[in-house]
Amino acid sequence: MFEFCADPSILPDWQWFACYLTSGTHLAFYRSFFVVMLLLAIVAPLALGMGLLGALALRSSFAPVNLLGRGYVNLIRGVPDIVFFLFVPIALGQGIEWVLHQINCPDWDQPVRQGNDFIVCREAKMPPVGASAWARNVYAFSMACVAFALVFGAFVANTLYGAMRAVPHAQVETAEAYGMTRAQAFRRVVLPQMWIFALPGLSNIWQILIKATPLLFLLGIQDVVFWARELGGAKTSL
Amino acid sequence: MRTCAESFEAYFLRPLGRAYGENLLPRGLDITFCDQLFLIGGGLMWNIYFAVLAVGIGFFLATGVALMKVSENPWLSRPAGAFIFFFRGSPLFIQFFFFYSMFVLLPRAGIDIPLGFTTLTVETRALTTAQVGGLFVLILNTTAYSAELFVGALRAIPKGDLEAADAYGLSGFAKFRRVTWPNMLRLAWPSYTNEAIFLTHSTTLVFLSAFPARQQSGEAFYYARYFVDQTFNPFIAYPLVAAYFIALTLVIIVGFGLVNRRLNRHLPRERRQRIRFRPQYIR
Amino acid sequence: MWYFLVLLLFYLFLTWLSERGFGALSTRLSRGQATAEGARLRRGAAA
Repeated sequence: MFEFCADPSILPDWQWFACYLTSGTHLAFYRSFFVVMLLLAIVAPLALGMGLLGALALRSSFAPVNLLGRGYVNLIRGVPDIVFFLFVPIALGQGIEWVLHQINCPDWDQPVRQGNDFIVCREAKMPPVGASAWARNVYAFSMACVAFALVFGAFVANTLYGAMRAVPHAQVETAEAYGMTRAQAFRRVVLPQMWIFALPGLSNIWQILIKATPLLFLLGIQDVVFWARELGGAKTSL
Repeated sequence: MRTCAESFEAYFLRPLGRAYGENLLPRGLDITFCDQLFLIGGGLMWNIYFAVLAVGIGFFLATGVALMKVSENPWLSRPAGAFIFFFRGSPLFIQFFFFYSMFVLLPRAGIDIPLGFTTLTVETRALTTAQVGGLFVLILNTTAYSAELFVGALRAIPKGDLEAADAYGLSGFAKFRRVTWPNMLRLAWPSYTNEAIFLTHSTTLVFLSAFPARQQSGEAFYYARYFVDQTFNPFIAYPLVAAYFIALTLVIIVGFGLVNRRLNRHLPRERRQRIRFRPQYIR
Repeated sequence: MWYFLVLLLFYLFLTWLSERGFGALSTRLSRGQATAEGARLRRGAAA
C-alpha cells in the first residue's frame, strides 16, 4: 500500500502497523463490511415487500390466498432458527436446477437423485458450467438474500398484520362514510397510519436481522466472519 | 445395511464420544434413515445439557444483574447496563468466536492468582471445549437477556404490593424474598418462557463455528449438517431436527406453564397471565 | 481475537445506531397520530 512497506525489517512501529493493516487480506476484510451492509440494504426492502404481501394475504377473505399466507407465516415462525437459513439455499438451489432440468432436458431418463448424488444434465447446472468465480459468488449471495427475505418476510408479515388491525376501526368507517371504496380506504387511511403501530415490531425485527448477518458465513460467502477467521488464524473445522 | 436396532445401538449414545458407540459416523451411501433419526436424537442430549445448565445458572445471575440495573447507585447500575447492552447488542454467533479465540490464548497450564497465603490455580484448559466454554458464553448471554426481562418486571411491580409489605413491617431481604421476587417472577414469566425457548434453539450455534466438536461428538444440528454434507439431501435431516426441536419446545412450554400456574395461583382467573409462544429466532 | 473484538464492536455500533434511528423515526411518525405520544407532541408544538 505505502512505498515504505517494501522493506519491512527496518520500519518503526507505527509504520509497520500501517503496512500490516493495509495488506491484501486486511483490505478484503474491510471490503467484507460492505458485503454485510449490502445484504442489509437488499434484504430490508425485500423482506418489507414480502411482509406486505404476506399481511395482505392474511387479511384476504379469499380462502386459498388466506390459507397460503397463514401457511407461510406459521411454517417459518414454527421451525427453529438457523435450520431455515441452511435449508432454504440448498433446497432452492436444487429446486431451480430441477426445474431447469425438466425444461432443458425432457428426454433424460435417469432419476435426479441417485444414491447420494443430485444429478442434473449439463445445461441445467446453476450457476452454469464454466461460470466465473465472481458469478458464483453473486449467485450464492443472491441465494442468501432470498433465504433472508423469506424468513424475515414472515416475521414482518405478522407484525404488519397486527399493525393493520391496530388502526382504529372508526377511521376506516369514517372513510367509508365519505364514500371511499374498501381499497381506497385501505390505501389512504390504513396504510399510512399503520406504520406507527408496526414500528416497535419492525425495529425488533431489524435488530434480529442485524444479528443474523454473520450467518452468511455458513452459506459460504466471504463475509466479515470469514476474513476475521482468516486473519485471526483460529481455524476450526467448519 | 444396518437394521434399525443396530443403528440405535451404534449411534444413539455416540454423541457422548467414541467410547459409547461406533468409532466413525456413517458415511456416504451407508447412511440409513434410522442412523439419521438416532444420531440426531442422541445429539439432542447436548442441547438439553446446554439449555438446562444455562437457564438454571443464568436465572440466578440474571436476578442479580437485574437488581443491580434498577439500583439507584450508578456504580452498580452502569456496569449492569453495559453488560446487558454488550450481550444483547451483538450476535451470539460472534460472541462464540470472540470468547473461543480468547480462551485459546489463555495459558494452557492455568492462571496462578497469588492470594498471599496461598496460590489459587484457575484451570483454563477446559474453557476451550464447547461443553465448558460454550456453556460459559451461553450463560452470560441468557443472563443478559433474562436480566432485561426482569428489569422490566421489577419496574412493573404493583406499588400497592410494595406498600403493603412496608405496612407489614417487612424490610430488606424478607421483603425481597416474599414480595418483590415472587411478583417479579410472576410478571416476567411469560416472556421468560420465550427466552428459555430461544436459548434452547440457540444451543444449535455452539458447534456451528468456533468451538470444535472433539471426537465428532456434537449436538443435534451438528449431526444434521453432517448428514446434509454427506448426502446432499436437505429434505430428511433438517426436517428431522426441526421436528425434534418442536417437540423440545412443547416440553418447555408445558413445564414453564406449570410453574406459571403456581406463580399466579393467588390471583383471580381473569387476571392471570397466559404464556403465548412468540417465536423470534436468532440472537 | 482482536478481529472478533472489532466485529463485536461493529455490531454493537450498528445496534446502537439503529436504536437511535428508530427512536427518531418513531417520533416523526407519531406526529398527528391519535395516540398518547402524538398528543404529547401536539401539546409541545402548541406551547
